[in-house]
Formats: sequence, structure tokens, C-alpha cells
Amino acid sequence: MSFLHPWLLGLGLPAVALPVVIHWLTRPRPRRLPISTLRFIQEAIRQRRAVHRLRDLLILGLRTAAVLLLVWAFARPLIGDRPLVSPGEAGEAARVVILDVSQSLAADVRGIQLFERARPAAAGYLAYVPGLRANLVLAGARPRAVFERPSSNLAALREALAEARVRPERIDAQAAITAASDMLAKAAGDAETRLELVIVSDFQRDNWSRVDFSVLPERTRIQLESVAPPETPANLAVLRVGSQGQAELGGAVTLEAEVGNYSPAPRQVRVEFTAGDGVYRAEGLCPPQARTTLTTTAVLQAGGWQTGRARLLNVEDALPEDDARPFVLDVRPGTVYALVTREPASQLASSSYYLERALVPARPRETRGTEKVIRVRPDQLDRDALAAADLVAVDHPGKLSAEHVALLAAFLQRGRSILYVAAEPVDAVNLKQLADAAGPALKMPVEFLPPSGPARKEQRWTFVRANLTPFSLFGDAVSAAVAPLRFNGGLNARPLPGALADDVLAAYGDSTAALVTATCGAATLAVLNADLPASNLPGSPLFVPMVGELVDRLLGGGRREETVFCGETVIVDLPPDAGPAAGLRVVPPEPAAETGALSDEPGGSVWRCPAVGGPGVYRVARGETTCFALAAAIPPEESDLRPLDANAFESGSGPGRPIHFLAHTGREDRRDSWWVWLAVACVACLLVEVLALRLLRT
Amino acid sequence: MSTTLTHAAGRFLDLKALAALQHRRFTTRHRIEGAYSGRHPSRQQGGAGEFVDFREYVDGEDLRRLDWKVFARTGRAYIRLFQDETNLRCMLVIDASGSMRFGAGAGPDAGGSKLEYAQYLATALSQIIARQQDQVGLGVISEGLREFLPPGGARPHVALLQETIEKIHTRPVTDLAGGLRTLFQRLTRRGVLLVMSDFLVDRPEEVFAALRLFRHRRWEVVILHLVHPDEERLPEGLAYRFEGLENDGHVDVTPADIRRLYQERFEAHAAAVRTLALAGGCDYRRVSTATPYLQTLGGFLVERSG
Repeated sequence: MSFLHPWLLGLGLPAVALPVVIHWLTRPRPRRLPISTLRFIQEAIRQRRAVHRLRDLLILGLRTAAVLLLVWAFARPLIGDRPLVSPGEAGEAARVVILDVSQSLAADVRGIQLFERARPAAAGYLAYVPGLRANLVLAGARPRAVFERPSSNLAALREALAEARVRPERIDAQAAITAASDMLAKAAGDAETRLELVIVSDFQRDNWSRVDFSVLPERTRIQLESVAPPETPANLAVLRVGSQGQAELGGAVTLEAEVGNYSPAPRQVRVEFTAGDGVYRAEGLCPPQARTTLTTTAVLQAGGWQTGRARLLNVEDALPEDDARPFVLDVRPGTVYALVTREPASQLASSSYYLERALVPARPRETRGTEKVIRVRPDQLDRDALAAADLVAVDHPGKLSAEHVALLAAFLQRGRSILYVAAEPVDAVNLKQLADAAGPALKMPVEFLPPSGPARKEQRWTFVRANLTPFSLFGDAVSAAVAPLRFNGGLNARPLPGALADDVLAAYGDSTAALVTATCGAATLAVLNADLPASNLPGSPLFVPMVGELVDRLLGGGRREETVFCGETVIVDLPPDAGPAAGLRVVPPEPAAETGALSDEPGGSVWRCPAVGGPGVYRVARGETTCFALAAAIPPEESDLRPLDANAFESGSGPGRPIHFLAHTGREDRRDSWWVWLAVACVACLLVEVLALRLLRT
Repeated sequence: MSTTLTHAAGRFLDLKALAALQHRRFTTRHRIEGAYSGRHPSRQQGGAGEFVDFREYVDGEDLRRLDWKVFARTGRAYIRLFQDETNLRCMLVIDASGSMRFGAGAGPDAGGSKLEYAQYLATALSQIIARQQDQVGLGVISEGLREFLPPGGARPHVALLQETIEKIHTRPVTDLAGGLRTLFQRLTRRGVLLVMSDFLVDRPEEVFAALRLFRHRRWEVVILHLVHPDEERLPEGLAYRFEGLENDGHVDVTPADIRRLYQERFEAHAAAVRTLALAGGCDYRRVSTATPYLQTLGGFLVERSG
């Protein structure tokens, strides 16, 4: 605690003795009077002395306290930690001011944007002081420093500050601090130079909880100035928009919007989806401080890449920018399976025959309208053959060439899943090559090996994960369903270290994996280790629904998330049907937005953009035809306006880097507000004294 | 007919003022034992004096007191009873303790000290008692029986007594009970004991225990409880240093703080003295020194004359 007028303490503290001195000076001079009844006086005094002594002590204490409080109030105490960085402090100093320009700073609190509170707060640290060199870092998805290093051109910094605007981005706080660290390290040559880092932000919980200040040079004074209001403003936001399953032309698709209610009360929310020419609405109750998914069913009559927008209706909240969100849908005519096999379609009771029947059963599934299987001979396997396929099924392909394996790996990397039915020893080689081609992105739980030793006969599935797809469909009957199954042939398998146990969905009695899945980016590779003609699985009632569930999972998992966050770097492997980069162009949501570059790579075309703009929809088009679309949206973290507690920052600074958190409402004027309470306490003391005199009067 | 005492008037003897009381007599309601014939009913019922009653004759009685006329007329033997009258022996006791000095400096009618008041009162009483041919004695008690004059009626005795009264000074130490016991031992005949004191002693019970000795010997005990008006209530003012009169120190106090408690305690003390006096068969009279002593004396004499 410090004082605004400490010299008053020197004058005032002796005044604490004032009541005693006044009492001594003004005490009545007693008149001498001989009296015969002194004993009665002494007895009366003895009886009254206890009360009088209490009263006298109470009054003396209250008067002394009143004087003490008055002196304290006049000295103007400054309660709380002293700021580590004072804007007007003279001397050689290198100061970096990080100003948060993320979307949450656009929150409106009592008619004023948080950013308009942050701007003058930051400007205060950029005022001219002799010996001060400063720099301004506008922190969004990536830090944007005005100068490369701290400069004495403070006027330019203030000008840049005046032109700064809120961006629809989330803050990469660690990147901003690292950039500031580099600047301060360059200026840390002189030991006499103060190193100061000032961060002006709303310190959202999600963005600042993992910040590490230890990257800063030692003796850096860190001052965090929060512009977050004391009460977190209520906010509603559309956090995510998408479809459940693949959108098919003319078929019903479920649109879903995840709505975040960051307010203390539940809210009845209506969401309006605009997709193509149709408008759809969903409604529901959102509990407080929770995310709720609202769904509606849409029938899309136009194929190809469709853009849309979901927005909240009749909502007034702190951040209107996140009340709407763009989205894209890839509307396909129907699910297309590419069945890569060397077995002829005319061969009945073959493995591929059973698999094709399971993929496209006689009665169409509810989740997929029209389904089609395209048989592809391995020697005809190329990008064009797989371009229209939503899922690739591989069954008895024989030995795949390295080129074909690379093609399948690229197919996986582009978000298309593969179902591999492994029965022949060569399948083990193919899978090994596929795992190698896909690289570390493909995490196989087991390694399949050619069968060795005695032939595998009469094997049973002794282990299935009944709680996971596809077996969860059967519920408690799964054990009874798999009990009659008998298998011959198949591959051996051995577990790989560090693999996920949940990826092995079924296993034989000899612990050989029977059904495994492995993720590869957004796609999934599923391997069914079974020789279908040599088993009774195709003839069992388990087969078709099991394959159907498995395919549903592969199609769902393989669906690409066609949303990126504004301001962030995007590298997109364009779908195979986009064709080569030549002739493709990127259409941004705004003409001035950065479009990035398109390039051809072995797996196909790739679009790279260092920082997408938005919010809006980026389209990759060939001519007027959209080959790919991507929605750039505000990161959902920006919608949760709850700030991080100040105490959370204390542990992150490390030794030699003092840190001070300064709430915007608790600046110097708040530290100096205690004199009012002291004055009130002084008056209270005097009132209590009057009360005591009345209660204990003689 | 009254006899007028004439001698040089002392400081406490105002003959002119006493002239207003020349028709008043100090009497007693009880029969007393006197040495000489006087005007007070004696405990003896002899053959002289005033006829009061008849009583049946009992064998062995003096036949001279037999009423022969009644015997001749009725044949029954009665004797005649007569009330003897004798003189009064009054013992004046003055408390000369330090507390009796309270109020010194003011005149006799303006509430002087209690001792002065007692001196005025005792001098006047001695004058009145001597004037009515009765005997008066004096005992002065402070730390013990300091002065003792046995009852007497001669003019030089009364003069000596009044001179002794005039010379009384207070002593800071008091033992009223002890002095009364000593006095009791030195008095052999019954009479009237008149005690003038403020009874500000540590243990009033002991004082009245001593007085009960007199009562057991059938003395008539009269208590004149002297109270100064400034003792009854504390003076107005912001602060006083009250100093004790009997070597009991001093105390600084604001009277307003303890006024009520003090008055309660003082009244409790006065009530205790009165209760003890009446319980011991004493005649009690509270005398305020604010009242002129002649007025007090007049009222006292009227009350005793019935």
C-alpha cells in the first residue's frame, strides 16, 4: 500500500494523541471539598467504575480511531499492487504494447465496444516520455507489429493505433508474446534499460489459459490491463453449422447448428438456415453456459457445392457478429462406392459379390437415397476412376503397384475413407505399403501379416466391442449374433506399440484382429480380416447391417469439415474431381481478401492461403463451376466472453518477470477510492461515540 | 415556677434566644429514678405525692398506707397508691469524631458544622435542664470517652459543663461504641441518655449494641441523628476532590456521575440508623443542621412534653 500524500502521515499520526491531549487540557480542575461521607462516595464510585471505565475506553478508542481514519483518508491510500508499468515513468525503457484485436473486443458493453476502451488504454502507454522506445503489436490470429523493434517514433505508433480495427479472428496470444519477446530481447542490451510488456485485452478464458510468459527476457515487467467488464456480458452465438451425413441431391439432409448460450439464463433460440433457395428454421431451448445443437431437415434441389448461412433470429446480445455463420454443403447425386477388385462381377459367391450386395442391398437404406457401386479393376485404377467415389472398397485386388497404393493414400488424405477386405497374403503387403505411403497420419492398431503355420480354420469372433460401431447396432444380441460365425483363412496380425485398443473392433480366438479401423486425417481406413466365401458371415443376418453401419461410419468420418477460421492459414487438398490447378481460381468472399495460391501435388491439387479473410465463403472454381467451397467463420472461442481470473497469470511468468494484472475498472482512480470509505468509517466512529455516550450516560 | 441561671454567656449560650423557650421543659415519658424530689414521675410509689390508685392489701405491707375509711365501709382491706416525683438525670453525649466537623465555617442558623450544631444544642439543653432543677451530665466521645462530667445540677457544674462543651474539638479517629461502653461503666444510676452524633461509623451495629446496654439498665435513650444538608446530596459542579475528615484519603469525581447512587447509599445509611435505634427501644430524631437549632430544640421539647 502506498499513499498519495504520505507527508500527511507525518503530520497526522501525532494527531492520534489529540483526544488524549484535549482530554487532559480540558479536564475540569477539581474543587477541594472535605466531606464526612467519603465512604459513600467511594462505594458509589466502585459501583460505577466498571461502566465508566468501559465508556471512557470506548470513547477514547473511537475518538482515536476517528482521528486515525481521518489522517489516513487525507493521506489518500492507494490500495492494491502498484502497477509495474506506469505510462509516465521516465528513464530508458523498451516497451511493447500488445493490443488484442480479436473478435471478442467488438463486444458491446453499455453502448461502448470493448475495443474503444482498449484503444485509449493502449494509447496511454504510447505517450511521449523521454527515453522511451516502444512498439505496438496488434494481436489477432497472427501478431502484426508496427515496427520490427521498439522505436522512439511514438507518433507513428499512435497513428497505427488510431487506425486499428477489430478483426474476425481469435488471438494467438502465445505468438504475440513470442514476437514481443524477440523485440524486447533485441532491446535488452543495456542493463539499465527497463523492459516492459503491456498487454491490453479482455483476457478471454479460452485464449489466455495456456499462455507462457517464460519466453520473455528476464527482468521484463509484465503488465496485463484488462478491459473486460466486471460482469460478463450475455452473448449468444452460432458456433458451428453443418449437416448430418452426406447431403444428397433431392434427399433429405439434416442441417445442424450448434448454438452457445453464454448468459446466466436459459434462452429460447430460433435459427434460420438459408441454403440454396430454401430457408429452414430450427428452434430450441438453450441452457445457460452450454452449447446446444439445433437441427432441421432440408431437401436440397440443387447439386454441387451449395453455400448457406445460419443466423439467430430476434437476438440482442453483446457480440452481434457471431449471431450468423456461413456454411457450405457438398450436395452429391448419391453415394458412390468404388469397388476395387480383380474378381469379375459375374462371379457369384465371391468375396466381392458378397461385399457389393452388402454395400448396395436390395432395399435402400434410410440414410442413403441412391447408392451405386462402380467396379474398378486394379489395373485401371487412377484418379479419374476414383473421382466420383465417396468410399473405396478394396477386395481381392491382388498385388497393388506403388502408384496405386500412393493413389489410395492420397485418396485417404483427401478425406475419402477406404474399406479393405483382407483375405489373401498379398493383402498384408498392400496394407503395409498403404500404411507407409500414408505416413504417420495413418495410425494402424495392428500390422497384418501373411498367414504362417497351420491353416486358420473354424475361427470364431471371441471378442467384439459391443459398445462401438458397427456392433452397437445389435445391442445385447451381439454375442448371440456372432456366436454362430465361423471363419477360415484370413491374415495373421500383431499389435503395434502405442496403438489405440479401441481401434480393434473384433478379434478371433487366437487374438488375431478381425476388424480394425485406423484414422488418417479426416478419413478412416477399415480392414475386415476375413475370407468371406470361406466363412458363414455373408450368410448370416449380421453381415449386411454390420457392413451398412461400418460404411455409415466411414462416410461420416470422412466428411471434410468445410469451415476454417478467419485469419488463419489454410492448406486444403482439393477433392479429386477438382482436377489440376491450372484453370482453377479462388473466389474470396470479399474482393480485397487474400486468395492464396493453387498448386499441383502428387496427390492432387492443393490450395494454400496464409490468412483467410471473411467471414464468408471461399470458392475454388473452374470457370463458373465450383469445385470446392470453404466457409471462413469466426472462431467459436471468441463468443465466450468470460475472462480468465487474474490469479491464473501469476504462475505463468516465471522467475525474474514480475507480472501485474490491472482491471480496467480498477486503475489508479480505483486504487485511490479508499479514502471515501475511510471518511465514512471516521463518521461511523463519531456516530458510534454519540450512541455510546447516550447508552452509557450517567 | 422556673429558676433562671445567670452566668457569663459563652460562645454557644444565647440567653436571649433561650428566653423564648423559658416555658418549655425537658420531660420524659418514663418513670425515672432521681436522687432528689423533683417534677418527674419516679419509679418509686411512696406514701407522699399524688394519689393514683387503690390496690388490695397484701400481708406484710405497711399498714400506714391502708385506707381505713374504705375498710370500715366495706370490710375489705385496700391500700392507697401515690406517685412519687423525683428529679431527672440527663446525660448528654456528643460525638466529637472528625466527621462532625463537616460544614464548619457557617453560622449556627446557616448550617454550620455538625459539631457546632451539637454544641449549640447541648448548651441550650443543659441550660434548660438545669433551670428546671434537674441534673445534667456530659460525655464527649471521639477515639474514646474523652470528657466525662457526671450529672449535676449545681450552677458551677452547669457552667463547667457548658465551658467543656465550648472547648470540644474533633479528632480524626473515632470509636463511638467504645466510648459509650466506657460511659456505661462510669454511670451507676438510671436516667436519660441523649446522644448527638452523625453515626458515620464503620459499624453502626456496635454503637447500638453499646446503647442497648443502657437500655438494659432502663435508661431512656434519645438519639439525635445530626445530618448536614450537604451530606444528603452532593454539591453541583463539574469536578470535586472530596477529602475525608477521618484520615480516609481523597477522591476526584464528577458528582453528576454518582449523585443518584450516593443519595441512595446515604439514605440507606440513615434508614439503617433509624431502624437500629427504634429496634433498640431508643427514641430517634433526625436533625438537619439546616434547621435552626432553637427550632429544633423547641420541636424536640414540645414532642417530649407530649
